[in-house]
Amino acid sequence: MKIRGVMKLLCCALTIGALAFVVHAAAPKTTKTKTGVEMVLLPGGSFTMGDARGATDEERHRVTVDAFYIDKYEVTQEHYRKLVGSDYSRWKNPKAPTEQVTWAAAVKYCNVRSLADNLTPCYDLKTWKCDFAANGYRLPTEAEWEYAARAGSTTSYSFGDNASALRNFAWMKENSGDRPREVGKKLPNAWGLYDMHGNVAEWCNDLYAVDYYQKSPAKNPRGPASGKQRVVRGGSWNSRAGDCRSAYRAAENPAYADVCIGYYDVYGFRCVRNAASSK
Amino acid sequence: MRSMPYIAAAILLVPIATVAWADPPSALVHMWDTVTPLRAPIDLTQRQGWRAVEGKSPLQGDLVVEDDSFTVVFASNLGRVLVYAKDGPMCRAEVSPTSLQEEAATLTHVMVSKGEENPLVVHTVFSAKGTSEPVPITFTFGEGGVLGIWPKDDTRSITIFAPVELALVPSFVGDDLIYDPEAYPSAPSLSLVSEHVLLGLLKGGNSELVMSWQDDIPSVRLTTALANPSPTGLSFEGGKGFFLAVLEAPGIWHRGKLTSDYLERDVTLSWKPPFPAIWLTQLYEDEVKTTFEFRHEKEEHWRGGVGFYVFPTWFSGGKTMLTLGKKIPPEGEAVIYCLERGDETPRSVLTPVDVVSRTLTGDVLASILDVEGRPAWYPHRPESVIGGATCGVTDALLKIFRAGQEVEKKYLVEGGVEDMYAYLEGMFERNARFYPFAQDMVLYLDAQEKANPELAPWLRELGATAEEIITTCDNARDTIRDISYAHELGAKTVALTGETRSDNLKRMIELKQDWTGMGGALEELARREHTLTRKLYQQAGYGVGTRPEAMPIAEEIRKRTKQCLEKPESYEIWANY
Repeated sequence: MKIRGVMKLLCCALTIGALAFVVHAAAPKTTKTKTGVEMVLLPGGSFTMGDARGATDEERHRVTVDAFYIDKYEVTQEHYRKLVGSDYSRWKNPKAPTEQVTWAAAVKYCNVRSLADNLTPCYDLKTWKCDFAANGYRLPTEAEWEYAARAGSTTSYSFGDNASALRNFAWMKENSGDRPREVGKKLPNAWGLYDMHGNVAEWCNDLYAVDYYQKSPAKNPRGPASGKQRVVRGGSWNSRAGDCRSAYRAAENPAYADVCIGYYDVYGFRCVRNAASSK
Repeated sequence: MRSMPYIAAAILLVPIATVAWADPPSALVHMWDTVTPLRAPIDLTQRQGWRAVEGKSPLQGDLVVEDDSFTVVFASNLGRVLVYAKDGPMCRAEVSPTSLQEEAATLTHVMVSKGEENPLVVHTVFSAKGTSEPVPITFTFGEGGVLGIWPKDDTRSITIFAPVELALVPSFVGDDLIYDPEAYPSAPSLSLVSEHVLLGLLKGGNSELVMSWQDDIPSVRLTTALANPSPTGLSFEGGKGFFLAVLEAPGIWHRGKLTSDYLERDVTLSWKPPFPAIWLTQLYEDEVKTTFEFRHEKEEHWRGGVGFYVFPTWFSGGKTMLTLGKKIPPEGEAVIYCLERGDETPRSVLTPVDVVSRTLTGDVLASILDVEGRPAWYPHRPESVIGGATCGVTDALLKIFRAGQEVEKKYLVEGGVEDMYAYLEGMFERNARFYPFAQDMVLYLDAQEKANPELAPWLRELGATAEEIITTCDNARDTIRDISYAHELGAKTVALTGETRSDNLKRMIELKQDWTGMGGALEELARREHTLTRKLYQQAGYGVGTRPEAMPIAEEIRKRTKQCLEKPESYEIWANY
C-alpha cells in the first residue's frame, strides 16, 4: 500500500512538473500596462470553436482571430476601485475579482482604463457600440475569449477532458466554498492565463444568439447584430464542472447586477486590446 | 360522501344477486340489469335486452350503475367491477380484491340499498373456487362522480387494474412526486408514499384516476407491467376504504421529452390544455426538479441564485409554450397536468382538488391542501412607512437624498430604516428555521443508518443534501451578517439626516449597497435552503419506490421537511411569485 502511495505522489509530482514545463515553455509574452495590469500577448491564429459533445449552441466551426492582448487575471476589486473610484462587489477582497458588475459597468471600466493608459476608448457609452479599430481596452469577443481559454487545446478544458482535474485550475461549486476567490491562485492555462475556468464568469462583448455559430464569419466573429443578452463565459465559483468548459456558452441581461437581487456576484470580466491597432 | 356510510339496517347477503331498493335513486344515478351476465369484451353500446332497475327485484344479469361522470359495471362472471368514463367506450379501471388476483373470481353477491349520505350503496362479495375466502366490498355512489370503495375489514386489500403510465402524489407545499415505472425497469412493483391522494395518469394522456382516502392506508403500490406478467395496477393494502374518480378530457395530461434543440427558443408544444385551469409541469432549476405553473403570457422572472430568465412555461393565443435556456435547461421531460381549477375553469370540469375536497374532511383535507402552510409569507411591519424589502426602501430613500430632502424628510428616512429592520428580522427568522431543521435531520439520518445499515446508500444521499443546507447557511454568514449590523447601517443612514451635506448622496449610495447586499443575501439564502429542502422532500419520496422497508423513515423525513417548507418567504416559491 505504501509503495502504491509513493507511486501516486510521484505521478502527481511528475504531472504537475510536466504541466509547469508546458506552461513555461509555451507561455506567450507578458507585458504590464501603465495602470499596472499584466496582459498576455496572444498570437493570432485559427482554432476550432465549440464542442461536439456540448449543447446545441456549441456547434463546432473553424475561427480565425487576430493577435490581441488579454488580461492575465480577472479584473480585481482593487484595480476596479483604483480606476472607477468604487467597487460594489459582494465579497470584499481587493485581490478577488470584481463581481456583481453589469456588462455596462464593465465596458465603462474599459473606457476609463483606456484613458488612464492614454489609449483611445473603444466604447460609445450612448450606443454601447464598440469600435474594434480603436487601440483601447474592450471586452473580448466570444471567439477571442474561447481562443484564449483553449490556449491551443482541443479538449473540454484547457488541460484535457478530465473534469476531476478541474479543481486544480478553477474555483467552482465543488471547491469554492460558495464565494469567489483571489485571482491567480489556481494553475494557469498553457498561455499563462489564470481563472479562465471558474471564479467569476466573464462578460464578453458579443450579444448572444443560440444559432450564431451557424452563420458567424470565420474571421474575427463579433457576435450577432441584435439580441437582448450578452455572452458570459468560463463558468463561476457557483458552477458545475461542465459549465466551466472552454466551449460552454451562457448569456445574461447586460443591465442587471443589483446586489439586492443577489446572484450577480458570479459575473466579472477581463479586458483585451488589439495587438496591432490602427488608431 | 365524506365517510363510509352504512345503512342502519343490517345487510343480508344472499347467494343470488338482488336489488333491495325502496326509494327511487337520485335522478343522476341510473341502474340497469343487463339480464344476462356480461362477457368479455364488454361493449356498453350494446344494450339490447337491458332493463332499468326499479323497485325490489332480483338481478337476472349484471348490475350497471351510471351517474353523470361514469358507468360502473358489476361484471359477475369476470369477478371485477369495471369503471368507465361517462362518454368513453374504454374501461378505465377494474376493481377487484388483491387476494383473488391469481384466481378465477366471480361476483357472487350484489345487493343495492340506499345509504344515509349516498343515493346508492352496492354491497358485493367476490369469491373464487380455490381456497381464498370470499371478499366483501361495498361501493358507494355519491354526488359528483366519485365512487367509494370499502373493503369489509382491515385485512382486505384492493387492486385497481388500469393502464397507469405515471403515478403522481400531489403536494401543495413541496413538489409533486411523479413515479415513472420506466425509471425502475427491474422492479415488479413500486412502493408509493401514502399521503391520502394519488393520481394514476393513464396511457394515452386522455384519462386519469384520482384516488383519495381519509383513513391512513399503510401501503400503496404500483404494480408495473415491465417486470411482471400481470397487468399494471394500483394496490391499496390494509383494508381501508378509498374514493375513486375518473377524469377524462383530450390531453388531460401530457408528457414530452425536452430535447437539446429547445435551447434558448420559444418552443410551441403540440399539446393544448383541454380546459382552462392551473396547469403545472416540473423542470430542473438549480439542478432540482421544480414546479412551474403555466402563465398566461411570456414574462421575465427572477429567482435568487438563478437570476433573471424568461418564465419557462406560458400560454400564448391558445398555444402552449416552453422557453428553456441555460438557467432552466431542456433536460429530462415535461409532464404537464392539472391539480386544481383556475378562475376560468368551467363548473362542469372536475379537477383532482375538487375530488379531494368532496371526499376528505377535517385535518386530513387541510393537510393535503396545505391551507395554512401554502400561502407565501412576506416579512413586513403593519405600520410600515415605506414598506418593502431593502431594495424598495433604499430606492425610495435615494430619491429623497437625490432631491436633497433628507433633513426635511427625516421621518421618512427613520421610518424606512425601521421598515428594513422589520424585513431583515423577518428574514433572519425565516432562515433560522432551516439550520436547526438540517442539523436535526443529519442526526436523525445518522441514527437511521446505524439502525438500518441496509439503507445506508440512500440515507447517505439524503444526509448529503441535509449537510448541504448546513454548509450553505455557514457559507452565507459573511454576507447575511446579523441584525446588529443592520442597526449599525440604520444609525449611519439616520445620521445623514442631521444636516444637508454635499456628500450625503454618495454616502447613501454606498449604504444602499450595504443594505441591499444584506437583504439580497438573506433572500438568496432562503431560496437556496428552500430548494435543498424541496430536494430532500423529493429524495425521501422517490427513495421508497424500491425500498418499501424505508417507508416509515421516508414518512418521517417528509413530515419534517413539509413543516419546514410551510409558509415560504415569497422569494422562495416558484409558480405564483
